[in-house]
Amino acid sequence: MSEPDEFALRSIAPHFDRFHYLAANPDVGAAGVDPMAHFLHQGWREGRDPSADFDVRYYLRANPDVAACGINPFLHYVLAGRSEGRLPRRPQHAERGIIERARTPAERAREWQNANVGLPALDRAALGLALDADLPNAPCLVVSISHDDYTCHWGGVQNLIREEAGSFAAMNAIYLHLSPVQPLPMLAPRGNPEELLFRLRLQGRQLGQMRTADLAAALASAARATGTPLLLVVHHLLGSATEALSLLATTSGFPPIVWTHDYFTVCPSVQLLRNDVRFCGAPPVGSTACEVCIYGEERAASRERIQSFFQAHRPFVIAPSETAARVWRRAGLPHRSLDIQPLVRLALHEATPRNTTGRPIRIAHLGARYHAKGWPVFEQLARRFRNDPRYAFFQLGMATLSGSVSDGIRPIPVKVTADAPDAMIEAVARHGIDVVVNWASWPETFCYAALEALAGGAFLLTRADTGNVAAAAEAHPASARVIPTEEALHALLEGEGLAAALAAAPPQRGSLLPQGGTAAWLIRSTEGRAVSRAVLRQQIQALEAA
Amino acid sequence: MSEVHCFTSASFAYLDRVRVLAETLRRHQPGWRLWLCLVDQEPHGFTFDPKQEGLAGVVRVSELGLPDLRRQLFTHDVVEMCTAVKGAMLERLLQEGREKVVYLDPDIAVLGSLAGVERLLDEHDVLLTPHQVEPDDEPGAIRDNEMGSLKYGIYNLGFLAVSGRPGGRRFARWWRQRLQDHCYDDVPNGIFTDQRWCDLAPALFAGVHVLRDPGYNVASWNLSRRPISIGVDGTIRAAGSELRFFHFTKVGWVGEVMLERYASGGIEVFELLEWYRRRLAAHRVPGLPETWWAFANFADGTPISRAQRRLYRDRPDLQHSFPDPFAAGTDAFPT
Repeated sequence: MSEPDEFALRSIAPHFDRFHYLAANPDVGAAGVDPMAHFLHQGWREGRDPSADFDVRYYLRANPDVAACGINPFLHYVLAGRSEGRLPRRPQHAERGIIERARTPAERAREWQNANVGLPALDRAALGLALDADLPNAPCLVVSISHDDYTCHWGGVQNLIREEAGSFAAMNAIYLHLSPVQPLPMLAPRGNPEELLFRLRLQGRQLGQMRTADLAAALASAARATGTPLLLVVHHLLGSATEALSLLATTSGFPPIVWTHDYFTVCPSVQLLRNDVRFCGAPPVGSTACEVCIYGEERAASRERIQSFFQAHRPFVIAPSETAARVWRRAGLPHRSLDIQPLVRLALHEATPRNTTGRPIRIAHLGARYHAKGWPVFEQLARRFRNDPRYAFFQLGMATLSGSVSDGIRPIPVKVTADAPDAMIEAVARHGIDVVVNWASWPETFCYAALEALAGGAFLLTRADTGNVAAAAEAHPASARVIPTEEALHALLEGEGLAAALAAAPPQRGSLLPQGGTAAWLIRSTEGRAVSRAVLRQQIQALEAA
Repeated sequence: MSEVHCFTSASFAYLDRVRVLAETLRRHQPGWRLWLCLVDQEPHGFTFDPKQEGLAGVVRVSELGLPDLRRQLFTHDVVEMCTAVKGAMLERLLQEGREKVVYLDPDIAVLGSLAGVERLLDEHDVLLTPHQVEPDDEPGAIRDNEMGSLKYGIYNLGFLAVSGRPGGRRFARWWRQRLQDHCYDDVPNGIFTDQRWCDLAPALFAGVHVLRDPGYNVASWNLSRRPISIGVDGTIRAAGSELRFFHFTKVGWVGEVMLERYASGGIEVFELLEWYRRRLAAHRVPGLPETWWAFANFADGTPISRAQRRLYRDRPDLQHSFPDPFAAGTDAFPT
């Protein structure tokens, strides 16, 4: 090895991350060469980064004088660039990447494959036949609509629909679920609403697909024939056309019940994240903020359609949390009532104290590595403290989508399903997760992950303005803390504050209790009870008429 | 209130930017009329239809009555030439009786109401926006920004507003004359196109108003003191003032590095940059050769270097010997 080589190796060695280099470049490991020597001789010329904290391509582009010299940029940074104030990677790289990758709903819709998976086409008679068997004995027919088939996907909304279907089944009601055959990240085109295709699932059993016009006619005919009241529950409008829903709404004698599981009725950016990166607070449609946002154009286009639907039907609105209700009100959509109905309730009980002596505090991110879920803040935290023996970092949830290397964060695959709804709670407990950081970038309407953290016995750290997450933290002050800024979060870990907070926290475990969805709303809320009574009256009238 | 006539100056390479300027001006100032001073000619096979551009009109450089135009097109590069015509275009609009004329660079996007400019022109003859209105304190920022202004001019001439009153016309005549003879990028000799000239304007003309509102003409050179925020009310602000227009000087890597240097941790400026790039993509000009400028080459296609332009500019004898500097061949100006 030549003298300059030795000097270069010695200079970069303290800063070179072998683990990162090998993880990001499996070909180097496979070739059996020394990663640092590889980087020094050819890696940097190929744009390979010596650590997660240094971006070779960025440094060369941002510093044309260094690029012109043809020297190793990392060596330059270590020897001179750092003290000259040059940046090792572009500032706010993660968030800027999100902005650059953001696409309009229309652009994304073009990329969504046609999801017509050859479902059998149903006609009016076929649906009528399916309904005829049970409808005469049912107190009501619930027609619920959401963006996808709740039996094939897992998430908060799908979970609620599953539970709600169970609650209605316990009441002997018939539950017909509709989801658009072609899912979309926006409303379906205004086009011809009669032709919009829905996938039908009756009492949990898949029936096939049906045109809206046929569906509306079959429902109206069945309700007329049996006198069974029909309730329309809209869990989500994504992929549907408001005009098609209006056709269905006319088959019911009751105003529709619309849930605000997210902010889609306010803006196609369901989390109200402007350019997918910052919570916007739902500014006026057509404002300059909307002008520079990738959702602005679609928001303006869909606003009038959503407004017309709410104006025409004045629905009952159910929000899953105070936050969801507060933010939704800003949209100013006409409605009959706005009630709050949590999706689940957290029940905590005393547990055996957790022994953290002699081991690092285990800090985790629950869920996927999404910006909206606060992943960049967690990643940054882990990057800063990954070599601190007091802490160990974990991610519990789906594997990374981006395939990026996150040094010092141990991934633990966890899949919550209908068969294992408590998988996350159990994983938090089983892996002895002491702390969950939930730095959501928007006011969450309802956050299972925050409740799962507490139920699993973890201490919850969050910031204000995370909506339902902060609300969960505030409701359990001994087991959670709301921290003002990211800097304060880092300061908490820098000092001994976190260990002290954990020592003072009561040992707890818990579970999430289903709340019954719309079925519970019909019993618990004033407006819901009024609807229940009216449903009952209609049924009695039908029986008397029979 | 009198009609405001706005103009910009560009070659075809900046037509996408002109379109974004026109689109954003229409949105925020629908009553204003935008003119384009076109310093270019169509490449073979390329059709330009001014009627499709939503402009008040297009004035070609040949219509401005510039003396010895052919020589001027040779002695200026594209940036210098697009700048040199600004004075003549301004004077032309004022001579046509326009009461309020505003110049905006093609790489500006309007993001708020400019009604304040209209009102100020009722009281003042000329409005200028300084590059900076608040001192920097970091050494790097002082070097980039304040020392930059000392070299390139106190005021950014991406914006200029002039009234049709006598004071405004006097300024326009003076500026047009100076730009006709001395609109070069020649910082060592104290000239930077049209900008350094306007350092003199507040001293030479009584009716000059320095527009200090931080919402006007926000760009990398003042971002350090004008952090961008976007409120729940939907208003974009710079240093707390409503953002009126942003000057996207460079949208490539160089511009982005300057913006990130002074973004102070804010993400909003990158949202603006990406939005602007998307608008440019939406207004792409199909069929235009890359880096096209009709006066970039000699007649035989050889690119004209900066040194050749300067040599010809400084040597009256060459101008005399080679009356058509673009010509190629044995008797032509040496390529």
